[in-house]
Amino acid sequence: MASKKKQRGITGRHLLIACLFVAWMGVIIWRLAYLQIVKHEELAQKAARQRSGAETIAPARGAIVDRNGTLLAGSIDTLTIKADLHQIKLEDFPTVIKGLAETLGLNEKDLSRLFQSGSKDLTVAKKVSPEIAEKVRTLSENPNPKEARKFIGIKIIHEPQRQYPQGKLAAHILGFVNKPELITKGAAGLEARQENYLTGKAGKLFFEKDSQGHLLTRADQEALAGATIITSLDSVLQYKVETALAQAVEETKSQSGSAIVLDTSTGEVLALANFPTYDPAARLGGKEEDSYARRNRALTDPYEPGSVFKMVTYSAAIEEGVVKPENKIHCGNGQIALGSRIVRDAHPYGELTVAQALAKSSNVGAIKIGLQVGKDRMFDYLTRFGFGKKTGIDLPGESLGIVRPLNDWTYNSMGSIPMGHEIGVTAIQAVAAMAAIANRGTWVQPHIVKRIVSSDDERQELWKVNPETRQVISEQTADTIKTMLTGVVESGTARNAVQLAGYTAAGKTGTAQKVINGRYSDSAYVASFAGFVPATSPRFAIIVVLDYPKGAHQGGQVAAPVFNQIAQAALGDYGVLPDTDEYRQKIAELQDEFRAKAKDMTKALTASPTPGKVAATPSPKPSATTTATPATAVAKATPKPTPILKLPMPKEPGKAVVTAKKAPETAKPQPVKQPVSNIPSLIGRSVREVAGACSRAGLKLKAIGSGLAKSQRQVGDTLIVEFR
Amino acid sequence: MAKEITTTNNRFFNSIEQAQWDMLMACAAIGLTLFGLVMVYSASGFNASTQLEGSFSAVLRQAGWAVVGIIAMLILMRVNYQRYASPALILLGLATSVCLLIAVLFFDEVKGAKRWIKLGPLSAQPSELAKITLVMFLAYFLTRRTEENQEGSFQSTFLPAAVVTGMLMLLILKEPDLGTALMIGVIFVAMMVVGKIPALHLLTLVVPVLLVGYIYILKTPFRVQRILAFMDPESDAKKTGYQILQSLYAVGSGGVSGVGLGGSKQKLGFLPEAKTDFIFAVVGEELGFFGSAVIVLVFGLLMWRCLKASFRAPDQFGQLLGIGLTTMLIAQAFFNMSVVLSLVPTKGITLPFVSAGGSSLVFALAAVGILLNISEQARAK
Repeated sequence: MASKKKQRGITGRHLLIACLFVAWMGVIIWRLAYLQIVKHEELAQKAARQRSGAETIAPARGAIVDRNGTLLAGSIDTLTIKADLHQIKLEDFPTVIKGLAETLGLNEKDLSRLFQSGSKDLTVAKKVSPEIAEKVRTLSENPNPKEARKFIGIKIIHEPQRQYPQGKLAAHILGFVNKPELITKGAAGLEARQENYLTGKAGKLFFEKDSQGHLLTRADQEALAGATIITSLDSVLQYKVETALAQAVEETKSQSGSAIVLDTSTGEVLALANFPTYDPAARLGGKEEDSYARRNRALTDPYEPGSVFKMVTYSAAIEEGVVKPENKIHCGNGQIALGSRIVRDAHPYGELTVAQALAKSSNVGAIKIGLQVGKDRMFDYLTRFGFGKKTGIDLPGESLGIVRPLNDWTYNSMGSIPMGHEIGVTAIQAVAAMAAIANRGTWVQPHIVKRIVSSDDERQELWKVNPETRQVISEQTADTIKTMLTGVVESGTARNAVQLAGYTAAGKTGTAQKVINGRYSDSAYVASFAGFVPATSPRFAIIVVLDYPKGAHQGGQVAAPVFNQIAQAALGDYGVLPDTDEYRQKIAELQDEFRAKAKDMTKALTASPTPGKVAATPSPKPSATTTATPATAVAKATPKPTPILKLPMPKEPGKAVVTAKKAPETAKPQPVKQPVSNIPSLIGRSVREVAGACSRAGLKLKAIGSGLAKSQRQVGDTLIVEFR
Repeated sequence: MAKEITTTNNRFFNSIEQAQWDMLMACAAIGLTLFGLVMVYSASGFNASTQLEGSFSAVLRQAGWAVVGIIAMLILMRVNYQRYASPALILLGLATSVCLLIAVLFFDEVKGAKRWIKLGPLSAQPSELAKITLVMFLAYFLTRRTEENQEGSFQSTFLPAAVVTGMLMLLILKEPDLGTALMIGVIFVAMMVVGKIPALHLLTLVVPVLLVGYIYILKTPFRVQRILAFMDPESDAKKTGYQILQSLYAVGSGGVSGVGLGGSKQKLGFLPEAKTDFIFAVVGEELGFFGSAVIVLVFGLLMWRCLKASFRAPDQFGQLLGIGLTTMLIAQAFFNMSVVLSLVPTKGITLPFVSAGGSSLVFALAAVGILLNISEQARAK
C-alpha cells in the first residue's frame, strides 16, 4: 500500500500525455480551419466539378424558304439512342444488349460486337421514332430497381436533322451541311453564307450527378432556333428552269449549263440553276464528279461570253456618242485585219446600220465600233457594267471573272474584247449587266436573300436586303440599246428561237470558242443567250449558258430556245400582261366585247319586272369604264387578264423553232497567229452550198464523199467536209 | 487491499444514492452517441437507397447498439473497477480475445479484410474486445510489478508486457487491420509512459518497430501507394488518392457553416465508407467548420474528464486503466479525424461513438462506464 501511495499524484509523465492529446486536438482544429476556410473555395469547386457536367443541346437550324414561304430547307428533331459504357457494368452487358435489341429490333450479335468495339461512347440507333424511344426510356423504369439500374448508361438524345423537302431543287443555292459533331454546320451555298443566322444558339443542360450517374439536379438553358431565311427564289419557276436546263444540257450533250432569272428592277434572283446538280441531303463522297456537280458554276466559273458582250461595246459607243443606231457601218464583207490578224464574220456583210450590225452579230462591226470607242473607254464601261469584280451576290464562291488590267491590253485586245473574247465573265455578271440595260441603265446588285426573320415571329425582322445600285449608262442609252436588242430577237440571230406568245423580248446570243490547252478550240464552244422580257416594260432578265454542246452549238440554236421556254414560263406564272401590239389589240377587243355584254346585261336587268331586288346589284362602274377605250388604259384597269381571256400560249415555244437554216454567228479571235475563220455549221448542206460558203469565208474546201454534209472541221485555212 | 475491495463492494450495492457521477463525461459520451445516430442516418441514406435497404435500417441497427452500449455503460459505472484487477478475469479475457482473433481469420472477407465474426444478423470485431482486455491486462500487470518494485526491470516488466501486446498486434495485423494494431501500440506506449517504465526500455522498441514497419509497409504495394497518395492525392485521383481526395472535397465543401444537415453531396457514393471510417468528413461537409470544431471540442471535453478521472484515480490500477481506456477512445478519435483531414495516411479506423458499427460503439460506451466508475471513486476520495 505504501508503494501505491508513492505512485499517486500527477507527474510529468501524466502532463506529457495530456499535452500530447491537447496538441493533437489543436492540430486537428487548425487543419479543419485550413481546409474549411482557406481551401474551401478550391475544394468545393473540385467536388462540384466531379459531380456536375453540362451537355450541349443542339439548336434547330433555321429554315430557308422561297418568296412564297415554301420550305426549301428545314430541320426536324430526330432521336438518337446512345450508350455510355462508363456507366454500364460489364456483367450487365448481356441484359442491356438483350433489352436494346428487343426494343429497337436490332440484331443481338451486331449489338454485342458494337459494345465490345472498345469505344465507350456508342451510338446505338439513329432516327428512332418517338414511340420506340419511349420504350427504350421505360427500360430504365423497370419496377425492379436492380434491373432498371443496369440501363442507366442508355441515353436518348435529341438531334436536329437537316432536311430538304424539295429534294434536289435549288441545290446550288441552298448548299449543304456537314455534321462534324452534334451541331450542324453549313458547308456551301446559303447554308454556309448564312451560317450565323441559321445556326441558332446551342442550349446547355447543366446537371449534377451522384457517383452512379443519377441526376440530382438539372437546369436547362434552352436552345434558340436559327433564324428563317426568306429568299427571293420562286420554287415553281426554279423547278421549271431546272427542268428546262437539264433537258437542254442533255439534248445538246453539253458538259454543263447554267440559267438565271433575275427580277430586272429589284435584282432579286427568282431562279438560279446549274446542271449537273446534286442532292443536298446526300453526303459528299470523295468522288470528283461529286464536287463537280456541287459547283455553283453560274457564280464560280467564268467563261468567255462571246457576242453577248457586244451589248457593252454598243452601250459605250452610244453613250459616248461615237455612233448612233441608224449610222451606217461597213462590215468589211466579213473580215477585218488587225495587224497580222484577220477577224472574220460568219456571214459577210457590207454596209449595215449599227443596229443591224448588233442584230446580226457582226464581229467586224463590233470591232470597228470598239476601235472607235477606244481601250480606255472600253475598259471603263465594262467595269461600270460590273465585269471584273464580284456582283456581291449573297452566295459563297463568287468569281471575279477575268479582266486583264488595262496596261496589259494590246492592240489585238481591241480585236477580241468588243466581241466578248479575252475576257471571262460569270453568268451572274452577264445577267446583271443585261438587267441594267432592261432597268434603264441602273445596275442592281443581284441577291437571293430578301429578309431574315426570327423563327418564332416572322414580324421580327433581323435583316433586310438593301441592294447596291448604280447608274451605269444613261436612261436614253439604255432604251436605245434595249430597242437594238429587241432587233436581235425580231430580226437577228435569235429571231427563230425566241418567239414568245404575246410578249416582246430583247436579248443577245453568244457563241464563244473555248480555250483548250491554251488555244481556241474549233469544236468546243460556250453557247449562251442573255436577254429580258417583256421588252417594252422588262420584268425578267434571263441568261442561259450551255458549256460545250456537241453538234449544234450556236447560242441562237441551243441557248435561245431555253431562254424562250423559261421566259414563257415566268411571264405566265407572274401573269404579266402581253405586250405585243397584236395581243394588246386582242385584249382591247375582248374587253370591249365583255363590257358591251355587261352593259346589255345591266340594261336587261334594269328592265326586268322585279326591279326592286336587282336594281341594287349592277355597279355603276362598267358603264363608266366603257368610255375608256384605249387599250393601255384597259390593260391597267385589269390587273390579271390571263385567266379570263385565256390567251393562246404555245405549248413548247422554244423547241420547234430551232432550225439549221437560221443565221449563225460565230466569234473567232485567234490570240495565236492563225488564220481567222468564221464558218458556220454547214451540216446538211449540199456540196454546192458548202463550196459557196467556203469561198465567201476565204477557205479552201476539201470534200470527202458525196451527198449532204455530215461533218466539218477546219485545219488551218482548209475546211474538211465529209458528205454522205 | 482486501478491505478496500469490500468497502467499494458495499458502495456498489448500498450507496448509489450518494454516488456523484461525472455528468459531463456521461453527457459528452451520450451526446456523441446520439449525434452519431443522426450522422449515420444522414450518411447512409444514399447507400440505403441504392442497396435496396430501408433508409432507416442502418440507423435502427445503430440505435439498437446504442441502447446496448448505454445499458453496458450504466451497469459498468456501478461496478467497482478494482474488480477487473483479477488475474482470472484478465486471463479469460486475453484467452478469449486470442481465440476470437484466430477464429476471425476463418470468416469471410469483408472489403478485403477478415475483421468481423458473423453470427446470423450480428457481427462483431474481436479486436475491440482485445483492446479493452489488453488495457486491463497492462494496468493489472504494471500495478503488480510496481508493487513488487520491479517497474524498472526490462526483463520482468517491459518485455512480457511488450510480448503480449505484440502478439495481439500481430494477430490483428493478420486480419489485416493496421489501424487497430497501431491503436494498440499507442495504448501500450501511453500506459508504459504513465506506468513509469524507463524511457530507455521504450526506445528499444524503435528498432523492431521500424523493422516490422518496413517489412509490413514496403512489402505491401497498396500501403506504399497509400502513403504516396497521402503525400499527393491528386497524382492518382481515381484510385489510390480517391478516398483521401473525396474526404478533402467533403470537408472543404463544408466551409465555415456547412451545407446543412443531410445536405452532403459527397456522401452520394463519392465518399467511400461515409457512415463508418469517413463519417467525420460528412460531419465536416454538413456542419462546416463550426460544427466540426464543436465535435472536436466535445471529444476534448471527454478527454479532459477522462484524463482528470484517471489522474485522480485512487490507485495505480485505476490510473493505468483510466489512461489506457482514455487513450483507446480519444487517440482513436483523433487518429480517425487525422485520417479524414489527411494529416496521416489512410487507415481503416472508426470514430468512437459516431461511426456506424456495433462493437465499436458498445465497447466505447462500456469504456466510458468504467471511466465513470473511476471518476466517481476519484471524487469520493
